Amino acid sequence: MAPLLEVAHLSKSFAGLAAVKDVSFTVERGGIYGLIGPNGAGKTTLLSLIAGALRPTSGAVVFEGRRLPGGKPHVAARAGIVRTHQVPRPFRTLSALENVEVGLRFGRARGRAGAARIGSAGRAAGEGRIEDAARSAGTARDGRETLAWVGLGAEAERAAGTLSVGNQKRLELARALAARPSLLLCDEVCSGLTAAETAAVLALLREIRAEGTTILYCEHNLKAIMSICDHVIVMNYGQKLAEGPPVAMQNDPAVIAAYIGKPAGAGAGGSATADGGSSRSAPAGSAPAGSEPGGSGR
Amino acid sequence: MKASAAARRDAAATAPGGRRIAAAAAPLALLAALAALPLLGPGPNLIRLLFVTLVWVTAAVAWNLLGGFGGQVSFGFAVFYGLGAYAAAVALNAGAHPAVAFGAAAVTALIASLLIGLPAFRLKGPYFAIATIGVSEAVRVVMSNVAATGGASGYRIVERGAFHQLQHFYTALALAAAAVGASILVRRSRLGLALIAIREDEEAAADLGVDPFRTKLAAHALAAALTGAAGGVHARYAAFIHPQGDFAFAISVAILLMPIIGGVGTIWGPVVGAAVYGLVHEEVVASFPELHLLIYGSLLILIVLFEPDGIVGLLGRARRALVRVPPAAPDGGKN
Repeated sequence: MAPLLEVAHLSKSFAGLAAVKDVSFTVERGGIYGLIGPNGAGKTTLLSLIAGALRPTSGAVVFEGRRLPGGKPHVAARAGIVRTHQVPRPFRTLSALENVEVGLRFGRARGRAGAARIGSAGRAAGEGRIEDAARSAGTARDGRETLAWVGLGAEAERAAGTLSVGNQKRLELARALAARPSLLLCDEVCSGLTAAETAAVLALLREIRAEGTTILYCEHNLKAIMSICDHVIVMNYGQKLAEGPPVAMQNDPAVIAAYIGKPAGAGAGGSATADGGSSRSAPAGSAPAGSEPGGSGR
Repeated sequence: MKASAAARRDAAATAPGGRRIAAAAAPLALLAALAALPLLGPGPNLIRLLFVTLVWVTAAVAWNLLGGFGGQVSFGFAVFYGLGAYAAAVALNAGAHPAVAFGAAAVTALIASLLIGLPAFRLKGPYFAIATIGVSEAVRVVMSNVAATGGASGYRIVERGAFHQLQHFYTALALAAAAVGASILVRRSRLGLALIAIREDEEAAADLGVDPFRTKLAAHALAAALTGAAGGVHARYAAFIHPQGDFAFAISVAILLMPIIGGVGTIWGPVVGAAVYGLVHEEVVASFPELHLLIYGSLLILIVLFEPDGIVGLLGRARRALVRVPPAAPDGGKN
């Protein structure tokens, strides 16, 4: 079976400035993949490429064995790749519920099929009846369930633009989940949240994984990522620096050098000694210092 | 302010029982009143005024589908209005039944909307608006040089049989009612949800699976068909059309202005805007040709500055002030 996602030699330049350079990796079904790297490493650009929001300069995004057309995010979404945005982008004049309905009615589920439940955990009992009820009540019930799941049950009727930033982040997640992704791309869902809120979101991500959705989680905050990810991809200067299990990455000299800076005289690229599961693909020293590509936005 | 207004609109949409029935009954009562009006024997002048206003209502409601719900501001609806007028005129002169002629008007405008939309919707925001101005002017110039329809000197519609003003009135009333009905259905449909999502954030909508291009194309086509039919209905009444009139830039501006005056992106805003425009235009323009531009200009500035939700928004505000409902409760769904 083909891997869920295959990123093959993906590159993106903005006016000649390379934001993502020849990045390749594979995402297997299940699990939470972390995507980390310092500011401007090209994480968000990479997510935008995978989500189809940007057309790659070269390379390909292959999803479930099918090459996705670049620059067509709705095609990617219907195939099962849905992203959340770093800065929430709610449909401000629509209610929270209607925001979720956009995901329900246009995502992979699209309309009828959307009546199938989204969350599962605590509702195993009487499943059939709940499903039937959800189906007969149309998408609204399902939208409410999704909102309740992310903790926005009480805010369903509120215009999304009037929600607090924390709640807008939850809505961003609810809306994406309503589209029933098989690959959820999360862009810094925890930034700007309190410790308690962060813990709640991380718990939610674990729940989503438990239901079989694969997550590619892009995060600036190392602590959050190390606590939740099964596999980590490290980026720097638009290139893949390393990938492997979180613990290996934490101890990888090249990764440490990228985040903290390297000790004088000790070239990070030269210190690629044996460390467990990490597979180095790009020579760490290859990107000249100070040539950081700035384009990580959309 | 905008967000709370939306919450208010949602409140109306999800209001329980009695309110909902009242909300459905009021428009039907209005429709019935208009339909019964001729029984009171008003003069032909009033019927004519109402006829013209109903044509404007149709065009304004149609424009609002794309411009109000979808946020795609077009300055080119005169193309559809004019093509509808000409298509109906040619069909009528060929001896077609009026219903067939109006159908031809709608279809012609719909095809034009696709031809325009396919390239124009590759553009976004102001670029789309500018493109529609260019297309509109180009079509007007072309139509001024088409010999078959008399070029710039215009085209006369010759129908056998007597002129029945009320027949025209009821046609316009039915069309306007159909337009409002379409608007209500669209607002509640998947298409409406997609349009509003696109208006609010096109990229985020696409990220959830909405195809912005096809959504806009569909709304454009529906709006064009209604506007074309309106142009056809008016042409039959006027019995004479010419490019400087039916394809005029002023027509495009009027069609865009009415929803903005009344309340853009709402169901009833375009209706109210068209009513105000129709009455003011017909009454004032005759006596003070320059004054009416001044009135629209001032009205537009006031609305953009103080009440982006137009007259409908203003009325809502006034009603809340009168019944002393606490203003714009954030959870507008409840009260």
